[in-house]
Amino acid sequence: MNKYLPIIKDALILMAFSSIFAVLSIYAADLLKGSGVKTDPIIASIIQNDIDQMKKLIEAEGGRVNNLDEQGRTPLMWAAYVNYKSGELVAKDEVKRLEATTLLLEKNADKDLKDKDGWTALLWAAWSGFPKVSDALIGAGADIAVADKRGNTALMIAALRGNAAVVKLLIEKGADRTAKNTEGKTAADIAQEMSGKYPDKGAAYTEILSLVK
Amino acid sequence: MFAAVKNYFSEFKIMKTVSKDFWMVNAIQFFDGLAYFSIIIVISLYLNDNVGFSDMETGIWQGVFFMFITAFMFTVGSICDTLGVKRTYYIATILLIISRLGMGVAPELMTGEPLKYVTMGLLIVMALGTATIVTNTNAALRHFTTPENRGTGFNVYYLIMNIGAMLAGAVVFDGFRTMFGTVKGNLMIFNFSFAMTVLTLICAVLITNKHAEETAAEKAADPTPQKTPLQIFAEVWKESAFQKLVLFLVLTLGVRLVFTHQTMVMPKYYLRTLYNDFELGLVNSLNPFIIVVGLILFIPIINKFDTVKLIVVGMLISALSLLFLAVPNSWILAIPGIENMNQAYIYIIVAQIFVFAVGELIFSPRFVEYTASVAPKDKVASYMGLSALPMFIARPINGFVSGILIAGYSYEGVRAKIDTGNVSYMDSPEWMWMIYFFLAAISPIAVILLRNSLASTKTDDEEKKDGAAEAAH
Repeated sequence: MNKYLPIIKDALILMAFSSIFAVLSIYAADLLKGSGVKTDPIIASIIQNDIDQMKKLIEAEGGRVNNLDEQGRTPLMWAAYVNYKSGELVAKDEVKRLEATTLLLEKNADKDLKDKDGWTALLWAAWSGFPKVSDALIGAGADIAVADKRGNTALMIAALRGNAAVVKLLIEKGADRTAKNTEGKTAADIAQEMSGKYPDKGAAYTEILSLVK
Repeated sequence: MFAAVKNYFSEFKIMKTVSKDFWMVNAIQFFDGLAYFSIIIVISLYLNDNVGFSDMETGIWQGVFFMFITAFMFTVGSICDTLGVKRTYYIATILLIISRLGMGVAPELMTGEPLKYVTMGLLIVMALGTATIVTNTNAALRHFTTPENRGTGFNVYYLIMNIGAMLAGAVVFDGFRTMFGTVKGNLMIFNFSFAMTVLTLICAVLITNKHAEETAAEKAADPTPQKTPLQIFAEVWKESAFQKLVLFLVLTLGVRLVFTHQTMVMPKYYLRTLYNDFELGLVNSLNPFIIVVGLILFIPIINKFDTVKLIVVGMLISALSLLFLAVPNSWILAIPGIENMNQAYIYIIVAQIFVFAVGELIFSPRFVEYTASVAPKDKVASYMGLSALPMFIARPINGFVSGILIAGYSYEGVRAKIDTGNVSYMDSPEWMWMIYFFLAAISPIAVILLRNSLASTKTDDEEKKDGAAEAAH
């Protein structure tokens, strides 16, 4: 038995030490909660494409649909955001994100709230390449002419990323092709510039140029 | 070059003399290495995307996880000595099976705060399991080799560990995330790691323990009873050689912490500045690949130089590697052949990994050498054991720092803002790396400034004799 005593002693020291440190860490993280560093569970469920969980959270805490993260983004903006190179993955995620967007809009999520750089959910959807989510937002009355702090509109952002389907939708919905950002560039100028930089998206940029010129 | 490769592998012939158990330990190292390195790459993404931690919480808990591994490694030595290799493996693998399986399935069973608390508990269990298996593998390698083949035995172990690290990135991480998607793929990596741990347990069962070659003579040569780290610390902390070592280790913390960025900061940085389906595992595999190739080809040449000089040069190279990530991306876009932002980021990421690995190759093995050179001859093992102390304290702090920097400069969605000109240099991920560069650059500069006191390898007795001689003079 004696040979096990040092082990038991070491184990107890470890347990005590780890528990104290874990408690301190949780406390430190909680202290920072007020400054928006904790991920909102609704946003976490959106990232996981877990719409059932999102529904439960919204039902339980209905007023949280316009909560902001540390960058000033709402759950609606998160629903309108992905960052994939593969178009297939974007299309696959859009199915779930459309469900999330529809639900959030039904629960009175503010469609025109801006993050710290002046981006609304529509601008995020334009960048991500989500035509259906963009359509849902516009259908709910989102401002199609809104621009960020650099004067970029949803049309310019979709043109920049080579998201032809979103550009097409925005044009159909009456987006201003002549609007210029703070650098004096229109959506056509931006698409022209990008077509040289991303030859792999050549076909998309050609289509965009035909739509915005 | 061919001669260097031939020379490296020729010494492996001696491994014909080792027991079956030695190879079983290496099989354990391979399976567990594959699991461990896969988890290390995915953990920050898992905590963010699957558990729902913020960047800050992720940083804190990664720091806590690594700190616990270091803390447990101080103390599990006595557990291994008492229970023996085989039983310690059983304990380690059971802890790892529980934690890895738990982390793979918990996000499917619960959400929100309960999931976060369960994950915190599992992280601590996994840290204990990891520390136990690493410490036990080191003990087992000694146990199942003879003094003649031990050096080569450890080389084989190091090679197998790096091969595991390479496969973990390029095959496991990228494979599962491509196959199952970026969120579900993270869980599958934990499930894979669980399966690897079951194989580890099977290997542990197959250890016969018949060929323990630690001879009675070896044991007699080391009659010192086992001491706890606190006892050792109480003995050596007043020694000037130990204080010198601590000073050296603290001075070099800046650049050594860059090591931890590979797991704490890099995965998020890569995916957020590029795209979520970027094959970061392949890029991560470059580091162990360069280390293995470098070990075979260049170590015999590098070994000819002075230890402190090599540490300074190596650290300087590693610190400078961060400049690739820190310069404004408009500079990179001006390089002929780089057309767009994706190419610019891939270029700087690969360049940084390559240059950092070269620096690491030069300075990393020298730390052990330096510790051994500073320590009094009878206390080398104690000094070695305590040399992890500064890292142990620095890791959780670095976790906090990385959480703050990632949340502020490399947040999810930052690429959209970079593309549209909404991010100034001072708000960019590049500025985050400039901050890291300043932190890392302090190390080689400080070592250069204090090189005279650090280079001294005299023990207390020798210094006293010198002092007496000077007084007499």
